[in-house]
Amino acid sequence: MVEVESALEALAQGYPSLCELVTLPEPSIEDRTSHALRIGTDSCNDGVLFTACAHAREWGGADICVYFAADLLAAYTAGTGLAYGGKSFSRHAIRSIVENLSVVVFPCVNPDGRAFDQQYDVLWRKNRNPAQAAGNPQRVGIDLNRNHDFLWNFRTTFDPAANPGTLASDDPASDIYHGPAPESEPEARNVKWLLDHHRFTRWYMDIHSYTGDLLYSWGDDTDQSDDPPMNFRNHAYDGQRGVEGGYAEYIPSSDLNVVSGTAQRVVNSINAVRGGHYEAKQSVFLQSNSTAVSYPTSGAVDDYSYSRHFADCTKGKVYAFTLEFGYPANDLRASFHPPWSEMEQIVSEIDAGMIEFCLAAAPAWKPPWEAAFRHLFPWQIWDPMAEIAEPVVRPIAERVLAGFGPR
Amino acid sequence: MAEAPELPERLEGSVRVADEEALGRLFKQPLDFGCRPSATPEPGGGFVVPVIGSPQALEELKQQEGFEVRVLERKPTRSSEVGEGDRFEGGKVLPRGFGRQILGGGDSG
Repeated sequence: MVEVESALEALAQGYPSLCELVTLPEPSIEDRTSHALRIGTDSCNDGVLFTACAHAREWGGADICVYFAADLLAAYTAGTGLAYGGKSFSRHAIRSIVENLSVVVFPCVNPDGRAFDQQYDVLWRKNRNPAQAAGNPQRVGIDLNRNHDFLWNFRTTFDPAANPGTLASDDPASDIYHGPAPESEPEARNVKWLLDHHRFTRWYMDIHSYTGDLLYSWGDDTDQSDDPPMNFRNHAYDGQRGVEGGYAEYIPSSDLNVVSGTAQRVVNSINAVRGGHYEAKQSVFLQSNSTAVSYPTSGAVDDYSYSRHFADCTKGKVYAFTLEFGYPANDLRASFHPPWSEMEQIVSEIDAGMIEFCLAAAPAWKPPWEAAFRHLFPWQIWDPMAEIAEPVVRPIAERVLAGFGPR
Repeated sequence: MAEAPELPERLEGSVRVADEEALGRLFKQPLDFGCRPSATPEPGGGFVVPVIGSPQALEELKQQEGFEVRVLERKPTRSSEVGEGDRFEGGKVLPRGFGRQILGGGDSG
């Protein structure tokens, strides 16, 4: 944990004109203050957010993030490109990321859980909030990737037959306990804060381990693009989600093309590093070649991030993904904590994927007035403005969108 | 390494199932399958899934049809490669990634 903070501080001090340390507003339950690093010459550019270590035992995510930032900043400063095994990126590619995007890297979302797992080696997943434990150490902690405000109340929003082993749990002893309320946890609220306050964030990758997958929306049910009213906001479908047949989650076909295409593009880059076999999948399915085995989730951060612009038209659209780095070994412990020689290879693979992800996010063309407009209305004043404008803008926007998007 | 405070006993192991139907049933069990379950196809058919569970949960699983449970005998040990200290000395030492800086054009961009 100390090293992650030191690494971010070193990068911020080493490249003061290219990046800045971002202090997350809420300390963890055990009073640890977290930091992220924002990279880019203009904070008003379109944003890309990377987070990792929401699940405590998935240690390597922090290394992946730190070394990605280190490579990007060093290559830009040296005026070079970057190569990882069999995959390379030109100096123009590196320059376009730093100059046309605002990249935020948050390497350790769950510092308490990470510190606990490193100390006791118990493959801990959740945070360390004891509030719901009633003094029982077996009931400590909330799964931060079930704590977000997307179909959080799984008891009413999903079919009772939906998979209880994956969806979420209201039992504090469970590894997928979703907490007493959506975004009840400071660590989850820190991620929400990054999305709220870096208003031009358009792309997001949450890094987990392990299955060698890059997952795209949605994670609650099968995707469909034909029936806009069939969507997560429509209470008429409560109690029907997460099972085969019937309900399916609406995603505009244009968005589905973007997320599935981007996922495949990133996976191709990852696999080019050393001939890997990562796969792009819709989040709800475990296998890319079969829809027989599903893994519906409630309250996951990727679905929450992509859902925000549907739920609140003042929020920007964020294409959100979950990356599961590494491959299954013979047992869970070896899968979560591969030997460092293997982890070095994984870092190279995923860092190449992260650069490709940024290139996919970098706008091909920016309207000349956009930068001026965004500087005139930076996020610090945009939030209050949005609150004032929202009652006026929302009805107009919803009328315009009627028939085109989910209701 | 310190002992973890009063945590429940959890065993690591793997479960072999014959087909996707059994896989679907397995994922409804009260077990820890990792971040997302991982089902590795076997050459002769079927899948192997790493799991963590209480001794009771794994024992109950053994009694159910279609699940071949193997429990790892060894006790968990922390990776010897987990370092101590701070390689970046409180922000004084710059991290270096694993990418090679190149002068020519790349595959992308």
